[in-house]
Amino acid sequence: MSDADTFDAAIESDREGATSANPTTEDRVSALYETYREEIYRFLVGQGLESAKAQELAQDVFVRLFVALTKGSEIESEQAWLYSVASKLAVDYWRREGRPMWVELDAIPAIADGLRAKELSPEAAAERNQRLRRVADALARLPKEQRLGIHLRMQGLRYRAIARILGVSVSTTANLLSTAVERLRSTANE
Amino acid sequence: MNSHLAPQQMLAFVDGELSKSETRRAEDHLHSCWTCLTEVERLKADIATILDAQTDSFSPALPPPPKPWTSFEALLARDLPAEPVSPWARLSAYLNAFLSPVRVPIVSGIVVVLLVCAYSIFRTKTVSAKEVLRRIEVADSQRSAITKVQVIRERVHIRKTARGQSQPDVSSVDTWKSPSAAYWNLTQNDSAAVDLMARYQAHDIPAGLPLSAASVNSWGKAAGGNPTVSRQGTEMDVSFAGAKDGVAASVERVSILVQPDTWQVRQLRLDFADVSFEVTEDEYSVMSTSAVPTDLLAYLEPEATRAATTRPEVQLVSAAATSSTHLPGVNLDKAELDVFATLHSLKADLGEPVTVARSSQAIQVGLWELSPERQDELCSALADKPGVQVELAAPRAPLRNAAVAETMPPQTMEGVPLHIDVEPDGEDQRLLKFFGSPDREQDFTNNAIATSTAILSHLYALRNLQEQFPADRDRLLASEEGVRLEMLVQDHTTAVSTNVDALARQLAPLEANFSVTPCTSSVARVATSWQSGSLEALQTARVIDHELRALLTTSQAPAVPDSALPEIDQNLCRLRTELKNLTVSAH
Repeated sequence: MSDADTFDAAIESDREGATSANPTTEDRVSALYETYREEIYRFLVGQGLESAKAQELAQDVFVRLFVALTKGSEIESEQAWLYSVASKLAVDYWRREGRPMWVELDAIPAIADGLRAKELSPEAAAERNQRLRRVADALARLPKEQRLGIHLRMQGLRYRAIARILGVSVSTTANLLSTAVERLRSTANE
Repeated sequence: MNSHLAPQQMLAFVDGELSKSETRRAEDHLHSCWTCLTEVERLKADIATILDAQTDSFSPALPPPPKPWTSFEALLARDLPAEPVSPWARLSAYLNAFLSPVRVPIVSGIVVVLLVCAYSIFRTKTVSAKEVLRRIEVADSQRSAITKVQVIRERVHIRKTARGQSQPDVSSVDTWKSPSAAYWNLTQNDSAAVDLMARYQAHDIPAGLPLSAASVNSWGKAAGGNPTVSRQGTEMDVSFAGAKDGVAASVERVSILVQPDTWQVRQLRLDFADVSFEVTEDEYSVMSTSAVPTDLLAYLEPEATRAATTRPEVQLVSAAATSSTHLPGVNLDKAELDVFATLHSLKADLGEPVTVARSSQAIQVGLWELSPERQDELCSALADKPGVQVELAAPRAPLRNAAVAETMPPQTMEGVPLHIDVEPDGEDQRLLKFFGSPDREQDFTNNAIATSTAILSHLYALRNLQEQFPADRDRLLASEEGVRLEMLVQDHTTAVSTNVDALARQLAPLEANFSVTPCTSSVARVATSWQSGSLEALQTARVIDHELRALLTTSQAPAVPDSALPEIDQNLCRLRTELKNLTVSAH
């Protein structure tokens, strides 16, 4: 049986077992797709992937999740799984491209309507806005491994999980995160 | 700890990624170093800024998807995306093609030869127990090589557990060694340490540092039997199983935990018929004799003491003290309580390296390894107080009468490669599930540990007070001084009670989640005096702190909520009762 046949059989079997109270895996992943596709796409663009490639890979991540679930894989946190797989795809992409990958940002929007900005005086809000722009710009210019490490840490991944994705040791990960944070801090406090 | 935390250590600390021992050292350092404490707060604030920048600036500035999203159903309907073939699948396919019936015997032969080679390499790396003991000896001789103007201080944590009892008796003791003598700084209250020393003497274990190579070797010989070695996590365990003759004083088993990277003894476990001891090294430092208290130095190195008295190394600050060390007419009880009250008002009695000692002529306050700003603050507060000498160096006070603050300079962390423990795959994930995210779990842990540390700080302050004012001396105080002392005791007791309530509140949701029935009452022995009551409360608080850390922080022997939470609850209940008794006995 080819992979395509296995895939079709998984869909068929999945649909046969569905009831209204027990949604199919397809329904479940479809709901996750609606909720997280934009987030995963932005995560991938944030790693320096071109937008068309990022969108293609973001869709790919959800298909892989569907296949993993229909094959009976036990996935504790689907959200964490999506980010881990997206990260691995990004790392594979870098390796194929073999060049530094900075993030191209559109004009960074002002944060005029943000809640925090409202609480501040106009001068303080402007100063904060500038500070956040500087940090965002520095984030875009970080070396790709450091940027990915910081983004994964923001998603709540522990050092060991980040190390696995990057294919480095935990100590190297700690060093990489510290370097990135110090770089961003110095930009923030300029 | 002398050195400040490096940026990488600080981030790993904030992220909860340091090993348990590294975390403890970092916390100890933060308790004594405002510079690093402030820097940690700045780091947290900067991390918040980075998160805001990500959410408010970076993410919105990314380009939108170039095409409308395909529905998930349509995605599935498309051809199966080309999945990369895994390396195992490739290997399997290759072997199927390669292993023809003719080639199988040849390949099998090669595999057997490789296995034999691997076995022989592995075998040569096996280390015998005797070899481990030899290496311990070599490492110890290198580590303990000191000059005539140096001494070694080894601080050990002693945990004594009587057979059939679950409540251990714990002590923390400084032991000292010079080229010619050794000394264990014991007080009668350190019953675990006193008992341990008696066992060392009864077995003719060489007087020296409790975890020296000579000591552990002698214990091994005392137990008898052939030593065996096994792995305990990242450490090696060398054990001597002696004869179990049921005689209380004879040692039945000796177990030595060794760090294989340094070959240093980290822990010694002694099992007797009636009791067991765990002796763990907390700190090891080589110090100059000039930094050693005078009376201790007189015992360790009489020659060095005579030389030291001729050198004006200690900077005396008090005007009264610089003019003369003879201070007729000064009420030293009043002066001493005045010092304690002043330190208390500045929160300098909660773990800072400040010592208070009483000589026959003055109250000597040692301020050492404080930041210049803090030193100035305390100096100004204590200056011009009659009968008070302030020393800006290591304490030169009679050791047995000195109330030495708990915070001692731990080993430096800077320059040491960062060791990061990772959680094992099979770790209990229920706490993480309860909190919902590692960040929330980390926040909870930080708050609970901070509250527990506050409880310990006040109880250590009470311990220092009871060392200076034991019950027999307390009774002889004039009424005014007696009232001041009682106020200090009350103040610390109230602070402990407040923090115990706070800790109980912090833990309540967690206990409810794990169906722990809250303890409503506990029986504790009514202390005969606040002095003995505060020591019992300190012991209970230490147990709570230990259980909390085993439950919430990275640990090689992690505790599970089902057993740890009821124990913590019981001990909090017990601590409340002990505090009530303490309040009664203080009146």
